[in-house]
Amino acid sequence: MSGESIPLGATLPRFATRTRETTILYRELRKPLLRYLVCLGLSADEARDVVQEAFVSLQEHLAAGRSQENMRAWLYRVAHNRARNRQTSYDRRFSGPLEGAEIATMLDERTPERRILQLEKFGQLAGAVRQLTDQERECLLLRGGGLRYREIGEVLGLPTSTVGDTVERAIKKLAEKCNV
Amino acid sequence: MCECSEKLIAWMDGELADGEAAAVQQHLEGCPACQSCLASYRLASASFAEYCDAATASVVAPRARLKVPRWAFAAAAAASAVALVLFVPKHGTMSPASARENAAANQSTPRSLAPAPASPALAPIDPAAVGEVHSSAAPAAERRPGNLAVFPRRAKSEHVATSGLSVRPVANVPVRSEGSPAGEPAIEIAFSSDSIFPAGAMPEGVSFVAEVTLAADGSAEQMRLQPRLVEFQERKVRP
Repeated sequence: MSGESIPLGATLPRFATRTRETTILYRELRKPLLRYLVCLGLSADEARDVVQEAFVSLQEHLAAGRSQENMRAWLYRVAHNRARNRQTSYDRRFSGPLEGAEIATMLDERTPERRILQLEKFGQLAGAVRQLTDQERECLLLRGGGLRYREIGEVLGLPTSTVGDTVERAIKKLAEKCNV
Repeated sequence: MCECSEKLIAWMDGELADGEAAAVQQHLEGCPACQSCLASYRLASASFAEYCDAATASVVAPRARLKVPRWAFAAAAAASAVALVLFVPKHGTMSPASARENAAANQSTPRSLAPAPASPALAPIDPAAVGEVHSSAAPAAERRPGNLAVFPRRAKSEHVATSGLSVRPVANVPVRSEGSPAGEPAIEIAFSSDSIFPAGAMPEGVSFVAEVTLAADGSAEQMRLQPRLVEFQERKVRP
């Protein structure tokens, strides 16, 4: 804004509008983004950092007057790329063997019976999920976040048809491996 | 294997065009094999979601803690109060806005950034002047309405209901502007965040300061926003 004369009466309302948009998106997407990042393998702190970085980028993006189309996919793409940059932890959760103790932390402890059933189910799912390729996992996670195939394609840089094929393959693998 | 079986997952996800979706649905109604496949796909999908939820909860929940998002500071100000400190014009062509006070506004306006000035006291901006700040001390002819227009106009009833806006000079804020008489107060404008942001969008006690350099015509030449944690600052000065 330096050197450019901008009426304050126009500047602040624009700022307020951007902030409102960011706030709404933050409230709507913070948890799904955290879920996506944690399931990609980031730790809770890493995931929180990435989410914050993504929203800082969003604020800067809006402040620069750039495109406001499909900001949900835009946020996921930023978060995805930042997660990719933290490559050391990216593959940790799903590509490595999931220990029994790790699965145990995911269990609901309401009743012993339910705990046993969950242990079996999650153990089975963990095995099935490890059989998925990175792309299949990412497509399923983004689909679980409510993104359309077209949006998933935007996040991952894939054609929509490829996303459709990948999702179908991944779901069929899970259904087959889990015998469900 | 039915021809439609290859489209079941896309149909389940609502990704097929209307015509195709209708054809798949019609086929499904008469094909138990596809119904069974669809049920297993749905179950696999739900199980994966449950697995991801559990994995996320196991990682995030135990270490959850209150953390004020950094972007929020950049986004600045969906707190209970938002304060802007506007500095006098760079070119000295506009009188620094002084303030008018209104006891009602003082009571209802959320905490503002700077300590209350000795005088003049707080004054509300009447609805007609919302969006404008001008000096009450100066003769009417010398006022320059509109130079510091920062807020949208609101109906009188709404203004009264929220009492969201007050203006006052801030005596202890250093004036950095060039060419302006020394000691001229900056102006603090406080307004309710509820008038702009969704309720509860930001934690209590966050405000921000806008340092604005005004050009001769009253337009903003430069603006820099700085977040402030009002509660934190107040705790520091209290015994």
